[in-house]
Amino acid sequence: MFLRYFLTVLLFCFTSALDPFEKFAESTTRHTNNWAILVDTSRFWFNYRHVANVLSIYRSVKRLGIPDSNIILMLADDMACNPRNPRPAEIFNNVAEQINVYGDDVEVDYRGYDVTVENFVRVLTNRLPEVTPVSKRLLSDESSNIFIYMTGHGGDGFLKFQDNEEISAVELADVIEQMWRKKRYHELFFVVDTCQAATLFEKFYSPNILAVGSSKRGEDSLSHHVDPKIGVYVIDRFTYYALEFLEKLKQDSQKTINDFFHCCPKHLCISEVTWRTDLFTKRDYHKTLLTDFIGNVRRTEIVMLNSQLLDNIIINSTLNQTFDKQDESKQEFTYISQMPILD
Amino acid sequence: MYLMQLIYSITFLLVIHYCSSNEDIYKEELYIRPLASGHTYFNLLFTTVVSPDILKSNIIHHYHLFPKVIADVVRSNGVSEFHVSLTQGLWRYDRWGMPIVGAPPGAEVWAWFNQDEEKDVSSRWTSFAHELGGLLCASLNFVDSNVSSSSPHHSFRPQSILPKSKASKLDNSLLRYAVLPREIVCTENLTPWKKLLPCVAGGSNHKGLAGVLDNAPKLHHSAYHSLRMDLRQICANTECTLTQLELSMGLAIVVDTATSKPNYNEWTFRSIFGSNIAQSCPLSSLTNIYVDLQLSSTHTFNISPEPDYTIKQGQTPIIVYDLHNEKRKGTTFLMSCNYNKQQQISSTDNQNNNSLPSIMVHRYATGYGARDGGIKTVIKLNEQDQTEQITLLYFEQIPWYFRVFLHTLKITTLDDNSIEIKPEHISYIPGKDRQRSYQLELVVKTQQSIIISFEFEMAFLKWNEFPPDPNHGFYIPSAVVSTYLPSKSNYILRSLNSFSLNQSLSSSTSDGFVRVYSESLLVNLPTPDFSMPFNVICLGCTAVALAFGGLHNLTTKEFGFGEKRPKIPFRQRLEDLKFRLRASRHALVQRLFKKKQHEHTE
Repeated sequence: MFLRYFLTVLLFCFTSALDPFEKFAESTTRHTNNWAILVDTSRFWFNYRHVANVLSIYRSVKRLGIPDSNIILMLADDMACNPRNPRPAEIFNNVAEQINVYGDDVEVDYRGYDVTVENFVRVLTNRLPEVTPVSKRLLSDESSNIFIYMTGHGGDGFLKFQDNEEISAVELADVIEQMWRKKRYHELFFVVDTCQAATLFEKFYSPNILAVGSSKRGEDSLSHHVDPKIGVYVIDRFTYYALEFLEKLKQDSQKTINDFFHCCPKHLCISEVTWRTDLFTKRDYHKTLLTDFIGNVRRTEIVMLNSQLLDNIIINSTLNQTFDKQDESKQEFTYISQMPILD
Repeated sequence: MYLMQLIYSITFLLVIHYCSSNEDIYKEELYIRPLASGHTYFNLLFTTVVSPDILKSNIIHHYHLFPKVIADVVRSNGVSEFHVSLTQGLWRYDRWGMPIVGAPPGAEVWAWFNQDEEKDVSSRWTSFAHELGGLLCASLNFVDSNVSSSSPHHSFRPQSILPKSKASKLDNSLLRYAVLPREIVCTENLTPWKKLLPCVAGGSNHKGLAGVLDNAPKLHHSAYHSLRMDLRQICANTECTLTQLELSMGLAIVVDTATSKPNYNEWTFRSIFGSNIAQSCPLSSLTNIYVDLQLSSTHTFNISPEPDYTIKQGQTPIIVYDLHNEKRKGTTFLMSCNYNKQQQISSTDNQNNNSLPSIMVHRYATGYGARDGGIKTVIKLNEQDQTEQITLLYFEQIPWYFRVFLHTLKITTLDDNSIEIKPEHISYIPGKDRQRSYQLELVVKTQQSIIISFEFEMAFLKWNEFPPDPNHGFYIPSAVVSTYLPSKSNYILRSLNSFSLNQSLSSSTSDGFVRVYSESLLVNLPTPDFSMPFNVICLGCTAVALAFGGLHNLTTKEFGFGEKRPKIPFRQRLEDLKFRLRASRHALVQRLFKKKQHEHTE
């Protein structure tokens, strides 16, 4: 009887000892790759500032290391080559017009009518049709850190897509939970710049999420200034000050997420920047580096060259196909008439 | 162990070296043509020729200058040839003459597929369009909806070589043609397209002609901007027993080079592209710049530097600069040109007629209202050039929501509406709602300018089939007119032998075949009012109307307490009911009997 008691206690100790082990292991695992999803949901020329917002963030994200293959950029309308743009192929986020945020090296994955709630949800959950090319897919895994930035027109618990549909906060929370269940992210940083932005992430319930919005419930996020030469507002307040903050970052910067949360105080942003950290339990956001999300860690796999690999290459290369060419030389080819209807 | 690894790696490197001796050939060319309207036409051509073994499956390929992504996309979908173009702007045939190759506004993709028993052409077309769209950052995935795709029967014949046995019978189901008039082309399409070129490393300061592609805003500051990619099989030798794969990538822009001085035009590489050409690309076997001086008869030119040599194409002198020349090695190539119009009074008539092109196509939407409309296409022929009849092949693709009536098709001459022309051949595939678009092909033999017109009615779309901006309107793609030009030597056109210009310029091997594109039309369908205030007012008014009655009662009637109704026991109520029934039966009987009595007496 004593033995049985002893064994039960031992078993209990083992099982409870596993838990602290796991927790310890998880808090020190790092992410191995970074992804960024940048979405502009507004159409029409007067929403120029939303496209400028997204492209400014795209520029920073690219500058800090995330390559185009790991960025999904969605622009709901074309502003750069819009006939109303007095500066073709250029988008500015400042009246000084110093930086062309559209740049010379931009790859837009979803544009125009392709930016819909359905496509956005499918990208996040990877439930895309088989024929979708790799550049339009979010190929993240359980050790990816994902940075999501959304901008457009929003309201209490929803974000408007393209002027005819909307995504609700409940839906978005469920999508993120699907991502968690399918092990599609390690940590998620969610930034929103719309009116009543905080209501969009208040329904989240999945772990390891940090979220910040440019305004709280009942408040409008305001735009910053007009460029009279273009005739529209060119940037929103939150993104303008966030950009000022991000432009000073370098790849080895030690700035934390908490610094980013305070980048736009109330006297500058007028609306109150609200953030949510209760789901981010494994680490302390005061010590989490911003470059964990906006910078990049590339996955490297070290492979040893072995004889098996080399044999395969030599056997299957085009070297052996030169003999086949001579067999086909007897066939004659010809150009055909471009208008055979004449004959 | 280490020695074995060393031996294996050396063998590996030798294998790579051997494979690279089957050389890919890469050529860069820039064709410049000053136009009479004060614009200048620049056409950048990058041609890569490679062995067709790259399309064989189940072997490991070695890629030298040919982009791997294109080969993968083409091989996995069994594509024999494809042509894709993304264009912003309309080519003005009357002011700018003939382009080297035309393109409709928006996106145009067409491809011929190989015969394959396993996968059908539609699924391969869908997969191909998706992959190409992802590659070029364009929304080409919309071509798989049947609104935009069709299989022409007579237009868009293969531009590849085919085995002589198969050349006579072509299966049209292997051809797919799609056009998306709403697609825009911007830097996001130029970026991935540019990265397929061999000499484009990351960042800027590219060598060779690709260096002019760095400043995208300057390239888009143009009246016409067209990006294209063509892949096809060509003859490798003169007997045409061996084949090669040719990938031709082109960027055509038409830039306004007029200055404030009247009749004086000026441009330099720096003003057009933002940079000069720094060094030539070491991977290219040919880097030429051609300047077409067709205006030299009416304008005086001043071009620097001095050309390397001059060739004559028909009546036009073309000066050529060879950037691989020894004297240019390691230097930056700058070019500047200015020209002004000579004052000629006597030969102005002659000059006007010569500047009119052989053929021009214009298209108009006719009608009014939201129920029906019509389309009129005017094909203008330059009558001075026509000595005999010319055959025109007219192709049109109309989305299903504009229901075309074939019985309203009328072809008349431009000068006189009453003279009707009977077409040689009509090929018409009617559309099906939500499944297929209307496809019309006409063959017309004529010597004069003609008008082709027909009518359509508009369909009602379901409320969720409208795009997010429904009041913008719906596009009808351009009409394509294919023909052989009568005086072919006057034009610089793409020849079938080689899409690069160096061969076609020295000897006029072009057969004069052109495809002329018209405008695309924008027509409004009957659109419901999606505007939010309207919907809110409707709902609000309905609610008010329904609630009004009750509210009126509540507010206008007086409420008071009344007498309590006496409670009658159930048995008593039953007795009352029985009594009532008996009474009514009695009354009914009485009535009937009364009638009978009346009948008797009368």
